Amino acid sequence: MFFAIFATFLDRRCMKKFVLLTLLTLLISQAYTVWAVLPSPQQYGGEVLSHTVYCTVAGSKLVRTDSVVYQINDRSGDELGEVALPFSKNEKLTVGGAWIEDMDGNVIRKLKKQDIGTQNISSYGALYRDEFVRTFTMKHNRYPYRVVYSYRTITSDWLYFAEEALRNGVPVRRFRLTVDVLADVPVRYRQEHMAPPEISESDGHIRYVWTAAHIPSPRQLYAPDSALRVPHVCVTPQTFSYGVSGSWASWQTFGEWIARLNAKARTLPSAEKQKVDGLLNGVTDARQKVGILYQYLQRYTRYVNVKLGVGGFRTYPAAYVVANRYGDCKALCNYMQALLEYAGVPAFYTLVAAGTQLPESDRGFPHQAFNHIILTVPMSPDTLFLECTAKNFPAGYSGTFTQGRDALLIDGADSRFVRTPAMTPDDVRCERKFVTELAVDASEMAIELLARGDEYELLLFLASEMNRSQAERILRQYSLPAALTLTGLQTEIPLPDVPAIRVTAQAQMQPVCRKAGNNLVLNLFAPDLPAFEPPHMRTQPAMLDVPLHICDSIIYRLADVPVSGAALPPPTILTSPFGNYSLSFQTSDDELLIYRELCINSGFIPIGQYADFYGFIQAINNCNKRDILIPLPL
Amino acid sequence: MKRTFFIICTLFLSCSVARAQVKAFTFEYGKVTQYELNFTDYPLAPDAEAVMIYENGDYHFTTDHQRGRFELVMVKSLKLKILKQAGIKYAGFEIPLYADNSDPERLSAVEGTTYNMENGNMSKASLERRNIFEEKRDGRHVVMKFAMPDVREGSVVELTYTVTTPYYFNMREWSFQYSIPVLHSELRYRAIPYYEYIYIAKGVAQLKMEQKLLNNELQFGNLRYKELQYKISLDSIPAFCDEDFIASVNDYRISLNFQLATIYRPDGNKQRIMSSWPEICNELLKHDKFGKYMKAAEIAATSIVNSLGINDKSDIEKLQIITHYVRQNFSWDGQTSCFASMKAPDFLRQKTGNSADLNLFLAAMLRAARLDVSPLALSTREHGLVNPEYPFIHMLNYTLPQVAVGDSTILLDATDPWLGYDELPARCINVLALQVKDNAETWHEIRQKQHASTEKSFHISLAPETARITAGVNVSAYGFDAWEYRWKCKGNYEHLSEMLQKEDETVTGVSVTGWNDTEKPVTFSYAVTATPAKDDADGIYIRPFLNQSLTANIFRQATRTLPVDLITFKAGRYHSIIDLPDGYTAGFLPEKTGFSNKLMDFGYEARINGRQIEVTGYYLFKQNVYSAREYPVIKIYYETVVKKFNEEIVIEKQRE
Repeated sequence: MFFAIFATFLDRRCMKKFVLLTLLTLLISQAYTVWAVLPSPQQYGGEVLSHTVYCTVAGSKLVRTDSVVYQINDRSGDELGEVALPFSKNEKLTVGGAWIEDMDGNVIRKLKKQDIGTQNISSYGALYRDEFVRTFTMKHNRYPYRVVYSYRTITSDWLYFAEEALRNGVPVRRFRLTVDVLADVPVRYRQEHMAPPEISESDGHIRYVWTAAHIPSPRQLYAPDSALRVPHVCVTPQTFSYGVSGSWASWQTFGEWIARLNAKARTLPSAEKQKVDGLLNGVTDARQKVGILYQYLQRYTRYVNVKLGVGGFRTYPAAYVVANRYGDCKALCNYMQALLEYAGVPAFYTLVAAGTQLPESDRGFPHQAFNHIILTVPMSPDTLFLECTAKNFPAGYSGTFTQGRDALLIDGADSRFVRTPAMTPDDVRCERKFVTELAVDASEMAIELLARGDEYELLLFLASEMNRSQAERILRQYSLPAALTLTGLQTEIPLPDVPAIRVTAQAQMQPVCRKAGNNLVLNLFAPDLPAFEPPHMRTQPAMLDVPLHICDSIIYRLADVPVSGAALPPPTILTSPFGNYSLSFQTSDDELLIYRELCINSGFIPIGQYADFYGFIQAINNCNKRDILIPLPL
Repeated sequence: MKRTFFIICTLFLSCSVARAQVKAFTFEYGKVTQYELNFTDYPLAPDAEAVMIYENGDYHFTTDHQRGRFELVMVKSLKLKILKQAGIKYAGFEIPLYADNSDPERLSAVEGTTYNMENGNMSKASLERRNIFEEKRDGRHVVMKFAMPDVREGSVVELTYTVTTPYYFNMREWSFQYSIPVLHSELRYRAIPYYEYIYIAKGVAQLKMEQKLLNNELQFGNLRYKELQYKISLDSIPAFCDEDFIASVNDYRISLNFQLATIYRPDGNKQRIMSSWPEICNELLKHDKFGKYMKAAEIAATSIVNSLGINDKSDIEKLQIITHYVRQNFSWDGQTSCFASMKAPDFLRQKTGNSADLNLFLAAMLRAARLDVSPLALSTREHGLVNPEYPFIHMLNYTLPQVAVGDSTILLDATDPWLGYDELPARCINVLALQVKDNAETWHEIRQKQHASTEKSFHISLAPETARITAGVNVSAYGFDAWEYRWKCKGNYEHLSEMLQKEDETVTGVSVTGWNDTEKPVTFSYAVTATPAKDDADGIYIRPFLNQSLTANIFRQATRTLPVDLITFKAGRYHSIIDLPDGYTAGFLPEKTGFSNKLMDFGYEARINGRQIEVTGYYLFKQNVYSAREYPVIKIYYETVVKKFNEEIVIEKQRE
């Protein structure tokens, strides 16, 4: 029955190869032990015994065949049997065959056609995506068992032969990628944590074969992706046709392709041009123009992601944004670029890999490394980077998720890398003031916070995208210490062009102080630092993407108990290559004042320096854990 | 009831404000007033990010002459004012449709307009058809999705659309209340003589309903009939605020739910769909995916039961073995339903299914073992409470078997392998379940049979010279607490030591004595090395339970209006022995304290026993549901327990 499905294959040779591969899949599942290249890993609930990928080109179409064998060892591995195979609208995906077999290779159950479902891929964060999944479930009740399946994907428009990263979290015993092309087709490739390919030639074809295996290791706190050493390979053609023709020969040619793909997208309707004229009437300063138009963008548009066609590279035209007043990052940046161009301010559509974790820069191998678009506006003295999806950022603040990294500025044949500015400790400084009226049972606290950096971004999101009740609930559940009950919350943007937010809050805090013997013991209100692994348990380096900088003024007021008799710890100053910390105390009438400043630098911490870094963090924690004893009046 | 009273009072008090504003608003589609375009806040809810100015529904029947049938038509119109940026998200819409290949529900007549005022001029932006997307969720359901154009602070969004369905049972719920205030919500339903519905109002004690017989005589084939119009409306509905510790917002939000009760055929016959629970029971027992599924499963079930060799076992042993067999050999796909998702042979083949596939199969196996079993149908917590006064089939979304053994009845569930055989998952603890028996209506209360409790004992030694504490810890977890350990470790106790590891502590020697047998508590022991809370010239401060009891108050809201549902009764017991090092004595011991009342029991005592300090502490929540009025009290009680359990003992050097 399954062979009948493949009668529609374009190339008879491909069909023959597919049949061969399907048969090979059977052999693989029975003989995997021959190819297991690893010693037995510790027991995992499930593992990939074998995943072979075969890619070739038939006419203009990329034909890819995957053959997979999972072994499910216990219940926790069952989820491997919930298979979801993604494909997009310009792809045809067909499931070749699937079955469950026991450890002796006996087929227990085969997948039936009616067991395969098709649905849209979950559109997290998007209104709609024209991407789909074929789904089926293969589960058995006797462990261990194996799930064997294969599928074929035919793609009309494609950029890559293959881009594969082995799954992390699941052992992969054997992975094999074969790219089979005509001998005169240039192929570019790069692999990481796996050996270079074996290359062979026959019958006018060149075959590239990569093999790999991987035992996952859990990511330790703040470990970069590279620490996980997940094998990864990317194989691209030199040239491609995807919307329009393009080339991976260099970043310039890739950028040129993006430019040509979106060449006609920046035409503004006349009415929109008139609006721009009205907004900029009499304004000559370029920076001022940027500010005005950026505010116009923020006020009159919103982020709505509809992902259709051309793999998410072609933007919706500016006219679409004008008509709907919404768009995704591409559309909004393209529209903003059109506005600025009309206003005579050069601006450039810029590709960036956004995320809280800094991507590892690799300028040596052009490939699709980006997932977001920002706008670069060269200015003197500083270039501005505009985050066009943010309704509340000041112009030039692009956020912690695009800071400090390479970005590809699209400028036709002159496309080139630029670097977004990295956040400095001053950029992320949070100034906090806590005034606590102490009582043994419950303390009333007044909080003032001036937040910058990711704290600013979080609080800004809560203040602008949630109502107060929802914002308080989120703060209560995820941000605030458990001992703190919020009773009031107000937010304010002090200055519209400064990326900072002021929050005032009222809370009840308990317990802050308690009796111990004849003393009142006062806990310091301290920020929770991440619980880093002790050095003897740490095997991976750490990467702190954004600095941490907190300045606290903590005032405790205690009626009826003189604080002047308190045994104050001596002031502390810690300095290290990783940052600084200071803590000092003062008393004044009925007030105890504590000043604390903590600054942890961003940067890469190699494993050789980790013990020193851990020592620094522990020293801070020890200072923050200090209690202050205040003798009670007799 | 008190919640209902509160809502009614709020509605009444807000009417006076509402009347003053009635002229400022219009509740008709296609009209926008100057006031609606210009107002920037809603006085009754100044923090509101948006306001639903009106939401009108028009449910009626139309005739499909081609197919010779009536179809249910549901027209919705609404007008929404965006007051703040946070309100813009309400301008995105999702409309679910049942999309059976041969006869799908249809969305039509979608018209949407966004109005804005700019410099005294009004602009309009219309929703385009090409910006409405169909997302396929699974084989039978799609969702139509769109975002209104040109929406910003101050926008007024107006939308109308029509859903037409041949599935008369699928009359959509009407929601009066959302997380934003609603000025006017009105549903008109034009009933025809051939379909009778019953309804239930949630979140409000009663709704005023007006009736009017419409004069137009309508004709369909040989049928001549008139429509009877019902109109239900509410004004000035406050926003619903979600709170912690509630089972489902559906239990509290004001809404109207419909159930098809009777079909009156033109020939005079009538088909009762469901108008009573006994009829629903009958229907379930005859249903392909309920009663017939069980029957079909019995053949295979009998074969399996015979192979288990349990004939000489007691009834309790039989149902234990059978329940564990189903749990170990079949897996749950995460979907809850009252109905099986596939035929019994397919389920047996695939070894995975929804909750009904598993539990009805379990019932079939229990029946094959000649146990007295009947299925129960219920509503899960997230789905909302079932109201026995209103026999609505769609209120039921779960089923599980009930077995009578002697004088007791035991409820079973096959979806979770980490529970004891007669323990139910938390999602099922939702007050009442209906026993599905021929022509009967019997309700059973569902309650967790034991507390979720943990007992921990500590034997602590101090090494003053190194400022380190070493302790042996023994843990016994019961009920849901035991389940939680097993679930977090995915059934594999190898993960336990990772779970126990905390900052500044070293955990070693984890020894598990009770784990795989889910009928028994989880028990394990381990050693921990830690630092004292404080160690200075005044002495060594130790928390006797080593931060392993209650450390933070779970009740974090300042106030609340809804009851607190803890699901199960919670309890904990802690016992600590601290060896006094040579040359040291007890400097400070916390005072003995405790209380016992209908809400909670709590006790704490620390005393010296020779060269040891002995500390005991316990707490017990005596209810699993507390009223909003009791909330401030249990919040304080919990805080008291946390504070006491974490109070430090001071050990100081003996004075010479």
